[in-house]
Amino acid sequence: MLSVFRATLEFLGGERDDAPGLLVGRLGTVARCTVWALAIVMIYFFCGQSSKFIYIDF
Amino acid sequence: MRWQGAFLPLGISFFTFEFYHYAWDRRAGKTEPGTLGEYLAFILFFPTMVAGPIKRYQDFLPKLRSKPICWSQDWERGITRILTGLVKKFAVADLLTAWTNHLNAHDILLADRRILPLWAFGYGVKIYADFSAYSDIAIGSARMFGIQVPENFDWPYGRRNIQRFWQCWHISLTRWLTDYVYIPLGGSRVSTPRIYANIVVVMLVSGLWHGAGLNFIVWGLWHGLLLAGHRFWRQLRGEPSNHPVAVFLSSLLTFVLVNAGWPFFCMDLHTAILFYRTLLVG
Repeated sequence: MLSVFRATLEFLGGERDDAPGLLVGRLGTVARCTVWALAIVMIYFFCGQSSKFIYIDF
Repeated sequence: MRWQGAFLPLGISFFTFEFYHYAWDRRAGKTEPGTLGEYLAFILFFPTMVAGPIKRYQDFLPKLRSKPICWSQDWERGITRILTGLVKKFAVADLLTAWTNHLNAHDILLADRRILPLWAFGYGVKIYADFSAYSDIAIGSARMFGIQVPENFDWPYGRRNIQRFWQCWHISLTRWLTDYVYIPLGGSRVSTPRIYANIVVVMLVSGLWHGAGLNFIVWGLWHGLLLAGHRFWRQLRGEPSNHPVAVFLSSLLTFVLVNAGWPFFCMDLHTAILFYRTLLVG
């Protein structure tokens, strides 16, 4: 159960190429589009707080 | 003394590790020389140049030479990865700055001691979200060129011991330190006291690499002692139990111990000691 959840998150986050069983086909396309839309909205609302990354700006 | 600020980051930066890796592996005959163009593409590959993941020439060269199989998939996966990274950075890491900004001497002195662990945990989550976000963006950018670079994180906070944590946290650095510091020191093929010493030395090097300050040395020492302690415990008790409660408790303990080290990473030594004095003594 936990491994399926993890695989789903990794697929939706772009880390994994193979879609888990649940997201094969049309549902996978809808899920990926939803992730892009949600991500863009979140980036729009939360951006601008900092321009630095910890590991680059010690 | 002004030149020091310009010199230190150059000397200890990520691409220096790639230079060193290439030179060492070429000398050992572990990699082919490639053409000048391929070497330049390796060291100047901009997605990973500033903060990794630290690549290996042997892994990079075949990907550079092969033609991408499916551009549309590479772009879709790459952009998804970049968006994920930006969400982690803006909506998680930067949002936690409100907590982590309190990690300074003034706020620590004024704070209720019960709030201090929350600030440290907040920093633990922030640094994970921040650096894994950067890695996501770098890996996604590389993917858009049709090149898959090594992963840097693999759910490190869910790991059940400190050794597994380091195998899943900043993976490319851990691999580099293992191959170019730990193994040349003798690795695990030497006497038991030397093995423990090697572990501590590697983590001290890791600490120093993160920053030229006493606090980073203490942070490295803390992790070196945790790794050495874990090795000792495993030798004493053998394989750990796989009972779900034992797995949960050991994962929780690992999470707490890793987060207990972050104050040394994010504050100078005096402030970090003040943090612990306030937390433990009041």
